[in-house]
Amino acid sequence: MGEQPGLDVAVCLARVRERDEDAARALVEHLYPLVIKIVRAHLPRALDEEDLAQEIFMKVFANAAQYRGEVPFAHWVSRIAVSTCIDRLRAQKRRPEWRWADLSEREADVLDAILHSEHEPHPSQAADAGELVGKLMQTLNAEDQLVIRLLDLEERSVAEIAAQTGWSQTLVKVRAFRARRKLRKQLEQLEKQKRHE
Amino acid sequence: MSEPQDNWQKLARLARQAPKPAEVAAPFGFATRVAARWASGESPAPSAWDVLEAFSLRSLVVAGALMVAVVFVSYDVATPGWTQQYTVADATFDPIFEE
Repeated sequence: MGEQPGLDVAVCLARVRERDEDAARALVEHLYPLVIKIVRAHLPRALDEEDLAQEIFMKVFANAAQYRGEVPFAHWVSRIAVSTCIDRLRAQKRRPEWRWADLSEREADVLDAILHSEHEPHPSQAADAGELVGKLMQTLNAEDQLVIRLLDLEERSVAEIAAQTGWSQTLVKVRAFRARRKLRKQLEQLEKQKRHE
Repeated sequence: MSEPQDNWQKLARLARQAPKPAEVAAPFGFATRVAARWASGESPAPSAWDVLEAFSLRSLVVAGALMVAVVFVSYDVATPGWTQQYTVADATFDPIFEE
């Protein structure tokens, strides 16, 4: 995240530690784009994004005294945001599987193109593909969802994911491998259902 | 790791092309509300992990105390050789047995 001109994060943080409400407000405004991006990427279903963002900021302020400056402040905040989202995802029930009939017409068209066309699908179907991916991800547990989102959708490196989550790089790779296997299996099952229709 | 006909990677590649939402500023009043909540001393809701951690620590303390109590109460049972010696010695001088 780029630093906004006119806001010295270190000074602002020092004032927050002295319980300066104006500094807290400035910090929230400064960090909001970063936090809301993470919340929107990982938002559990049926949860208000603003409520989750508020919860993340409350945690940031509650733990501000523990920030030692060893990593950039934005990275530290990202880690709090990601772990809060994982907690919320854990609290939600996983969907066991999706059936072809559960997909919208446009999602079914995208999947049909993916499964049965040798060519790359048309980019105009990207938004529908995004919706479909979101649905398929609901069959994964919270940690697997996070890894797949960061690795396959945001194209982050394994090292970056390890830094953001606090997991080892091996664990990230293992989780990604298992999650992709589950997603492939889910796609195979949908393909079988389509063939038997 | 990817296979020639990896449908998942094909789908993910397409999904990555979906338009990204524009970077947004905090909605009006959001920063003020958060700062006010924080200034009023409200603490963040504990996560499931925090609750589990606190519960586990308390359980550990209780389990430790119970273990010490059990060892203290059943010390005789836990050291049978020692107890038998006393049993034999007590029996020798037990007035009931002597009668």
